[in-house]
Amino acid sequence: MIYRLPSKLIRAKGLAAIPVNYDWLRSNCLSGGFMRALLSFLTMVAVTVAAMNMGGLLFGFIDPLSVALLMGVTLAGTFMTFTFHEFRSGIVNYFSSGNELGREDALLGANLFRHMSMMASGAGLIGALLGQLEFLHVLDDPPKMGPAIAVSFLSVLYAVLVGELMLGSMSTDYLSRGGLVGIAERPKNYSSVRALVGVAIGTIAIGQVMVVISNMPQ
Amino acid sequence: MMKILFSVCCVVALALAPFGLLGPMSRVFDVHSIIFFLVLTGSAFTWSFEPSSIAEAVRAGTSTGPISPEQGARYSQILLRMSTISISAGVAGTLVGFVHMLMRMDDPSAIAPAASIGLLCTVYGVMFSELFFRPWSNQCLSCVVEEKLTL
Repeated sequence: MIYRLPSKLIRAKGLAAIPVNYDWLRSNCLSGGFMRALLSFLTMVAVTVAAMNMGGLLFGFIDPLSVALLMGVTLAGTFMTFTFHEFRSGIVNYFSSGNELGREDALLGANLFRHMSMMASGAGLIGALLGQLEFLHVLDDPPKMGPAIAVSFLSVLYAVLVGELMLGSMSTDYLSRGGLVGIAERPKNYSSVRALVGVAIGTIAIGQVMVVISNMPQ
Repeated sequence: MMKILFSVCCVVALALAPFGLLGPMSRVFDVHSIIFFLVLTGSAFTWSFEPSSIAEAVRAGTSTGPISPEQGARYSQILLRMSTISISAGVAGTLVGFVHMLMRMDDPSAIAPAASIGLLCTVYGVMFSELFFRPWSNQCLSCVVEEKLTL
């Protein structure tokens, strides 16, 4: 469906006169390997930076402590599980290979990046808890409360953006390049009870946040 | 197909009803949140899978036609990953909104819009994930389980 759309468009609008290699675009950006990942990465970074910079507040989103925590925990956890050789081959395969990738390489890369994504999520949780702890310690000193809260929020934000969206997508990209989607790990069955529990916990958490905000001194 | 369309309409109506009761419906739709959420989820989708496989998976999830167990497992995993991505994008938007809010603490009139924009992203994320992608994933998985039972 998606494949046929560009050629139809090209014929209908007379776009064939423009000297662009549409076959290259279709095979590299829509179905191919690295170029699709690069374009998605650039789009993701652009929209995130635009959203952060909405009030001219971009530099408030840079927190060296959270970055150090994220990188340290992720790399340490990865090197505890994978050897340096495996790590290097996983990274190099991602950037150098085209559409075709061996199954072993794809599986190794997918495992590596999924592990890194889990480690990054864990780093976000650690950062959130450390920030809350610091916040409770400086509760009677309002000027110090800002940085503590910033660590707690920004480390979760980095974990979601880098860990879940970027590293997780790289892991799944390895799976789809190696043709391993649905084969490497069978999806588990889904119970609606778990979803209800999740929605209830989320509602309670949002309610607590709203109560805290409404009770905050102006 | 009609059954699925009907259930989707019912679920969306039920999910949006509380917003209609609390205030004007237009509060649920915020241009900044929608653009941020859609672009972030879209880029993560195209990063994870080829666009053609995403289209195939969505078509298989929304139709009740027969698919093989291998296809079912594949489509189910694609849709499950899509639901994870949409929840993560919603959480990311919420955190960006909260940090904006914390940075504008000295101006109380700016706090409420920033917080509501932030929370809206989570609403979109949970809605897309729990109302569309997870049921579709389950629909694809059901044929796998049936196939295993009959074998």
